[in-house]
Amino acid sequence: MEIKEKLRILSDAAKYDVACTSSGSNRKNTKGGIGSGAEAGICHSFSADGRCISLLKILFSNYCIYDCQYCVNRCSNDTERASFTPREIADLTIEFYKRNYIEGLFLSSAVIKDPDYTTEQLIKTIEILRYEYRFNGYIHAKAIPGASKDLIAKLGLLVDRMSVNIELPSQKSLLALAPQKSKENILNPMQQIKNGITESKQELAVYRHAPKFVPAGQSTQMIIGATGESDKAIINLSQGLYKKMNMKRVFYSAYVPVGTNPLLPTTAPPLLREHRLYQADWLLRFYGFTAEELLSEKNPYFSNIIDPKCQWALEHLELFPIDINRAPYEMILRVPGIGVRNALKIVKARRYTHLTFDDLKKMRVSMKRAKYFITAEGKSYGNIWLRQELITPMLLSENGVAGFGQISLFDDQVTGEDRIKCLTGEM
Amino acid sequence: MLNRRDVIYTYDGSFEGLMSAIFDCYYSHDYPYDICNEGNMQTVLLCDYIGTSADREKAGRVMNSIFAKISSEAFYHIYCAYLSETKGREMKIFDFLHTGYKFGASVTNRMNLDSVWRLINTAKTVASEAHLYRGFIRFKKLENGIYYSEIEPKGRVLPLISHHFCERFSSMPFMIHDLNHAECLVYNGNSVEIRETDSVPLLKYAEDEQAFQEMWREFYNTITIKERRNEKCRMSLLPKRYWRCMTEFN
Ligand code: SF4
Repeated sequence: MEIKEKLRILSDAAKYDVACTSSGSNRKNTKGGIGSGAEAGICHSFSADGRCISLLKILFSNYCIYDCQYCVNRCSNDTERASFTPREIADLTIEFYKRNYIEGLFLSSAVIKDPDYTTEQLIKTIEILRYEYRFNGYIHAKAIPGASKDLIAKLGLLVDRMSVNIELPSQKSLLALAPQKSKENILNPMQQIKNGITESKQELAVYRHAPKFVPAGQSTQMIIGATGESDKAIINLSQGLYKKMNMKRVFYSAYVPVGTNPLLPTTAPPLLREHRLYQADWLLRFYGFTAEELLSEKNPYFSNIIDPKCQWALEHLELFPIDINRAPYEMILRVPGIGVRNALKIVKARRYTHLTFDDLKKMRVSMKRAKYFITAEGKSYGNIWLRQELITPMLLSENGVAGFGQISLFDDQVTGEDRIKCLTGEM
Repeated sequence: MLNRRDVIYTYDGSFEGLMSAIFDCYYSHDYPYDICNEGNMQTVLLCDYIGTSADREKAGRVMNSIFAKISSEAFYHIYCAYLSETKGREMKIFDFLHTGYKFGASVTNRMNLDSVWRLINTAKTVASEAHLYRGFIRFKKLENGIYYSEIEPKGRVLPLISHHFCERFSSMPFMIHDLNHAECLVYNGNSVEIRETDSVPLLKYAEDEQAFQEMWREFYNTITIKERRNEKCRMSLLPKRYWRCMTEFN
């Protein structure tokens, strides 16, 4: 089979893995080598679905011995199959990299013969890149559930990032849809990677040249909407992963119907829900929120209409408005419409002067949503006065829906009908 | 103390020239009405013109004073604003410097001051364009082994991306040709320079070049999840004006 043909089949099979970030590595180029890491990551292109393309994302092979129901590569599915050789992938990566198409490689694979054999193939590929081509660009490899500890340890020393996908947010769902993967098979390698990273950091503190183990950290992915877990269950799980596994990122992937199992939905991917989960995830990681604050037993789902931060603020109107000149940084971060960068700008500038609304405008702080929640110099913005039943419709009429800092991708998908439902409390 | 006067200082368009002109302003205690590139000047009635010339020593003294009395961050903003090629950037730089000498390093935090946010916002547009180009540049391999790329940026981004590419491809000769500003970054595997050019060389591609371009397009198209198509989102993240120079859209 031609390489181009393999590339088509095996990138098609890999596209549902959403992680494509190249951040967290500051690997330097070496003499006679090629490539370097960029701490913040670099997007090289954007595909027609608006996702960042940063890495050559491919499977080593899609001949899978397993039969996970939510996956296109399951052995019972009738789909085109192909396998690369280690050298083919290494050569393709280098040629793409030299043309600046990509930031590096994201290598994953279906389980070919058994998890160990598969992992050995990944290692071979990456060894060619690192040792023969002296490639110092970004490499993200998937740890295959069930692979032996030694192999995972070996792989971890070659790559920048590793991931083990949780895939389904509860053990029950895993059991029903991916019976060959046990919870242990997923959590054990995760734990091992976490420990490896911690040890490696300690060693680095002592010996400057100690080898680095997964220096850009580990990530994982959950499929959203294939099974019945609530937003609350998902966000709680994410919080646990960030805290207990020191996860760098948890990715959420709206389930695209590829399975025929009657337990799985056949409807369009729940993109808005995925978007809300990302927003909530951001709140956990950068805004000091906890999962418990965002959702409760009574209210286990995010709103279709307003973003999670707005939702939280509207439920806590007693805390607002806050004085932009006096409130602590942590509180400014919680104002809807004010992102991390603007919050920092505000606390820096107010050291030297009393900020007015005019000042905020000059600093390009968007007032669209923030104006309902802040005062400056004792005044509210245009004498707006704070009552929930007034704010909610106003926020909506100004299309203050979705998105803070991140681009609001799905505004246009919230239909008029959804809005009305929300206002009458039916949703 | 500087006196506001209806004078216009002119300089040769180079960064060194601009720094020298600023030196002359301070030396004569002038807060000028404008500082203009002598290449594209429009005569303003009722204004005196003072010509200046680029002078390494004068420019060096201004630059040193920025590092010493303000901060290296401030210098970076000034340099980026200069590279923006936007109208009126010279006076934005002058205003910012004037504020900077008054407040020192804290000036970059005072985003509520007009002279500060105007300059920093100008600088940021260039810096972020440069950041995008780190990803969006596409090299094509020529017959002679050189990797060649064309770009059409709004600002003059070459000085800002030079280090990134030279480090990354330290043993690969490459050229990045800025068609809009007729300059070309040339790296021969050892040393780097930015040359003025107004012609596009005759390009002969390497034999296997076409094959890799096709594979990249194949990959680019396959990786899209059709059920999630979102043109609006792609357009805002990757605006059309970059497409012409990108392999995936050719
Ligand atoms: S093991 Fe991986 S590739 Fe194989 S069916 Fe399951 S999810 Fe798909």
